Amino acid sequence: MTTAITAPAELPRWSSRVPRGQDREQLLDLFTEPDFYFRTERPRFLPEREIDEILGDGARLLLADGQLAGLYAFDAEGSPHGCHFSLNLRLRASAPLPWWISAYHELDRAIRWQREVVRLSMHFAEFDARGLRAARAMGLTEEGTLAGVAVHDGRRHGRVFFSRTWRPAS
Amino acid sequence: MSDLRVLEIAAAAAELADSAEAGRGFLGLDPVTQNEPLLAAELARMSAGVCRADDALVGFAPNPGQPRQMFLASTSARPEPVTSLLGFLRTYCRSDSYLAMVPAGHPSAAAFESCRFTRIGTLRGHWYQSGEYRDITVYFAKAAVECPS
Amino acid sequence: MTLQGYREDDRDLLTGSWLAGELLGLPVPDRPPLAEPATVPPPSGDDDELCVLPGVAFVRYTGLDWVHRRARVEIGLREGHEDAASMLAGLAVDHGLRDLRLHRLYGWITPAVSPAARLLTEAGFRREVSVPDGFWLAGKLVEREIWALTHDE
Repeated sequence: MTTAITAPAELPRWSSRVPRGQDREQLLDLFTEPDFYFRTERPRFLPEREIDEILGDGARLLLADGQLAGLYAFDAEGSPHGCHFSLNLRLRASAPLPWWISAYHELDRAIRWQREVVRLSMHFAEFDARGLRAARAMGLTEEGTLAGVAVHDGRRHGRVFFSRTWRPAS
Repeated sequence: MSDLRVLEIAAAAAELADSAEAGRGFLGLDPVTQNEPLLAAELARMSAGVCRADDALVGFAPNPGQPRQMFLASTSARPEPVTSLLGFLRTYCRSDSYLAMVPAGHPSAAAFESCRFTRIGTLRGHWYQSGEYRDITVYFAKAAVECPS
Repeated sequence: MTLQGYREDDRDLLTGSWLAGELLGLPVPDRPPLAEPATVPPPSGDDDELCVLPGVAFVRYTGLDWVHRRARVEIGLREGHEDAASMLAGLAVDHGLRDLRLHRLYGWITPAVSPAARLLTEAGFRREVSVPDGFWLAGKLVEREIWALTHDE
């Protein structure tokens, strides 16, 4: 019996920009996706004001071939000399898994081009099946779960932490 | 070695204002032409830290393009305050290299030279004081350099 | 062509793919597509002057110090206008010395990516300092230089 060979999803050309006024409708629409967990664990219930706060703090539009594919943000953790950053990355539901992996690698390359990075971390809620599948496919080290810190569907869940580390330059 | 006492910004500005000639050129500031609120605002803008080390003030501010490189300043010709500051920065700020920009004739040049900083260039006419433009000597050291005292 | 005052319509000129803080900011080759672009704020106060060549570039005089009569200069050229670099350097010097009556202009150059040495020398700048490990670029520490032009009256 032959096995159907599926061609790998074609990878887009990635670009990014700061959110602008004309992006508003598309951005609000992203948060109607039930698992668009970008800096929130309850996207569908957020009022516009809270979405504005989420988008205002260093968030960037991630564009695939010029079309909105998701959002990301880097946050410095601790002092600048610690070189620790966390990455929040969320692609919309229609984005296939290879896009997550490709976007992560491009973001990894971008931040290390501009800054010394010793540790890059990400975290996903235990109920975030799509995010966890992506994180495990990205090749990050799964470090552990902080138990019981998120509430979803009436139950407490943990937050799973992932990271990648590099030797300090000196 | 000198004991270091980290100063809050307002206190640092006040002590710089009191330092008179020794404070001129400290991290690019001039207590003679800049009042205390302006000194404090500039220290904050640079994310600078200022410490008292015995009878001296020492200061540091990160290079924005490379936060593990620090601009340094001292009000004293003695190397001990700089030695203490280098130890503090290496331990608590993972600093990797240092720059000091010293106006011509300023006593801190002796301190940095005693601590084996290297002259790497001169900013010509970068500093105006007492009716004339003066050069700034730029000193550099990597973290491995230790002061003799 | 002459420099003009900044207008809101010029906002797109303030962000681009040069290195942050560069004296003569040209687009950097091999820049990752998701690297954060360099950006400067619109002019906002007494210690910051920003002029534009509409559609082409901005020239920023920052850290304006009226005691020492000096400013740190940043020029940012829009992609596709790299051939205007020489003209921009000349305009920047002219405005700084003649209109602002400054004694000294200076700025940072990253030699690993900058082809600007000849242009800057022709405009009157000289390299004064090479700072080891002065900048993080493409995964490592690189040298950064201070170039300056001092006008002796």
